[in-house]
Amino acid sequence: MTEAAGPVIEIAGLTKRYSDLVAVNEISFTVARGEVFGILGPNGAGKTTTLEMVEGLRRPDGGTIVVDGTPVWPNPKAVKSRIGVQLQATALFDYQKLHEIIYIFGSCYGIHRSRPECVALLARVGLEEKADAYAYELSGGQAQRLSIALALVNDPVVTFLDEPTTGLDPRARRALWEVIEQISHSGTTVVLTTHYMEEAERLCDRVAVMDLGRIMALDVPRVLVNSLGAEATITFTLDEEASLPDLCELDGVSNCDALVDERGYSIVADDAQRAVISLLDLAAERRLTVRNLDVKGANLEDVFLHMTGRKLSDDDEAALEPEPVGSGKRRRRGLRGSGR
Amino acid sequence: MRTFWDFVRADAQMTVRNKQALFWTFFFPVLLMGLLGVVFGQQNAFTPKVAIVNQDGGPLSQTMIKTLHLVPALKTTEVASQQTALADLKNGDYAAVLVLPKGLEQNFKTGTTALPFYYDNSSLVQAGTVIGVTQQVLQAMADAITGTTPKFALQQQAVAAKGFNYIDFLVPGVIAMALMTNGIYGVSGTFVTYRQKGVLRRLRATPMPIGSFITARVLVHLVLALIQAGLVLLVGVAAFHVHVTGTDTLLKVALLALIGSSSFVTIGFFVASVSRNTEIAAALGQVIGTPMMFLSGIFFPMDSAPAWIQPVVHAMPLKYLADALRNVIIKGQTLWFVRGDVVILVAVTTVFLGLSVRFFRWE
Repeated sequence: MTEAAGPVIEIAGLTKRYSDLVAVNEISFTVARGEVFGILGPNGAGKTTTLEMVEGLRRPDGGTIVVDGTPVWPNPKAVKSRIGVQLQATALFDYQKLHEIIYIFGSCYGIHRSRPECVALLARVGLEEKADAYAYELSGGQAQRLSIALALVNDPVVTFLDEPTTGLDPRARRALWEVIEQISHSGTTVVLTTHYMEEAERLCDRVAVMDLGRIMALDVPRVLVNSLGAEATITFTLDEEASLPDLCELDGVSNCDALVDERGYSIVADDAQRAVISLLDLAAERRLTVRNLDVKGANLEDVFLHMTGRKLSDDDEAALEPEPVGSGKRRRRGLRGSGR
Repeated sequence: MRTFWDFVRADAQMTVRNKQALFWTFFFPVLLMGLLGVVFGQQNAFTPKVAIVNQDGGPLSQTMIKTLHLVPALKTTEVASQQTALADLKNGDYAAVLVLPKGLEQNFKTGTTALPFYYDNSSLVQAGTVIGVTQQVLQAMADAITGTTPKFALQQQAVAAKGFNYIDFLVPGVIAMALMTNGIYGVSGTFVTYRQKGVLRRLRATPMPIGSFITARVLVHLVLALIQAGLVLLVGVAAFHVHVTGTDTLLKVALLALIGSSSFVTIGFFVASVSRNTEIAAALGQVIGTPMMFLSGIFFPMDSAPAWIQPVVHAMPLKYLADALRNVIIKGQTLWFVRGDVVILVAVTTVFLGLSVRFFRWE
């Protein structure tokens, strides 16, 4: 029923304005069949608005979106049955059990599952034991897994996950990554938004870095990182109150602003291997013991910093996506929330 | 269609499982009726209404009517036909009917005048009051005019009428009130919560038309309204011996409950549509519901309320539901008789349905 070749999503010149604010500014990209595609950006970058336009929930002001060969607009209903959707912060019916929620949402797509079939879908996200629980009894991570199960309820060609791990503790986040990897392995295309670079690096085949409504870069995560010149940060401590004033002369060190504080030394190298070898040689020569040696490669956080001059927000609570028009008070995009 | 029935089942399930809400839906009206019924139930808490049929029309009869009208203990109404007045007396609309016969003026000059006086004997206390007060007033008037002894003699005739107590008045009112509160607060609360939590948005991402979801919810709500009305009526009859007239009363009450409930459900949708969050919805619901509860003649009749407030009373949709239910339950009237009330309720439904659609928001 689907043409195996060709991208599953084609977006060209997509634009959305909220009065004077351009939330999404003429972006274009394609998503290939079977890939995990990430949209990385801080809160207010336009990630959610972009997804909502693709999902048929928000009408674009310009541009075209084609999903699985069918244009989404002006009549999004045809596409809705072929895509899976997980929205940010969806709570569900309080007095329905999990298997009943799976059933009723399947019914919305004209799929009437038997109870074992509902439980089988719950098993895909590791919730089979909770089939008889109510949604309000779930932990944050479990609730998120339920909403991901609902994004699979119609066996979609492509499923959209909007910040699936925001607000979860690291353990729940890792568990969810495994669920998403499983979905991808089963052949479903996954499009997800995130503001965690670690998540994008781990899960995504390709990442679009988004800021202020524009796509700043789009590539395989490693390629994006390498494009920075592959810098690495080397940190270590010394046993004695010895000083190493000549760190800058080490081979492969690119940045001489060597930092010395109570945590030890920190230097930036463009060739980590050579820098480490020469560091250890120097230490041996002077009979010093290097401890806590750590080499940290550059990551997408650095890519974002490099491209925008700003850091990706790590304030989970300040989830300030632009509000829809007509809701009266329009919230300004918040660069910094109140923090935790 | 199957999806629609799936939602009906899910909604019914959720309603039944929410034990706390269910308890209050059914228990509160019964509790309210019980309390008021125990305290005031068998009293006749209202000023007795007396119909006056003036067959004479002379100046003396006019003076008599004006004088009786000034008596605070009675509420008098002039009625043209004696037949109508007596029929209404039997129906419980009046406590008594006083007839001023032809030739009143003549007889007054010659001697004692007999005035036919029919009263409802189902409540002896009330009958005593009405007879006593009328007699005294007329006597005092005669004394003042003549200074001598010509008298009016009330020609008393007891009539077996329906004899309504306060509880008879109260029960249809409580049914109407329960349908109102449940319609406005129940629906607005549920939908604003669904919107706030993103459930509506999630449903919108499916190909299902949202109309199926809303219609299913309303259907379950209407069934709940029927059970509510039936339960209050049942407890009223069983515990307080409410006088129910007419054999097909239950069917008529069910129809009126559906019509009335629809009005309040659409008002509830309107509240949900214009409210940003549950707090605002609750506050707006109170602003609409509370005056309605006290100004629609639920607990006490509003006929005796000051004239300036009458326009407000007549603007309350609840008044028309309560009136219609009262006419049907305790007077055994037909649906055709209450058609005016029904038309108003349907109009309210239409207007608020339009407003709800106009202001509907997904998020």
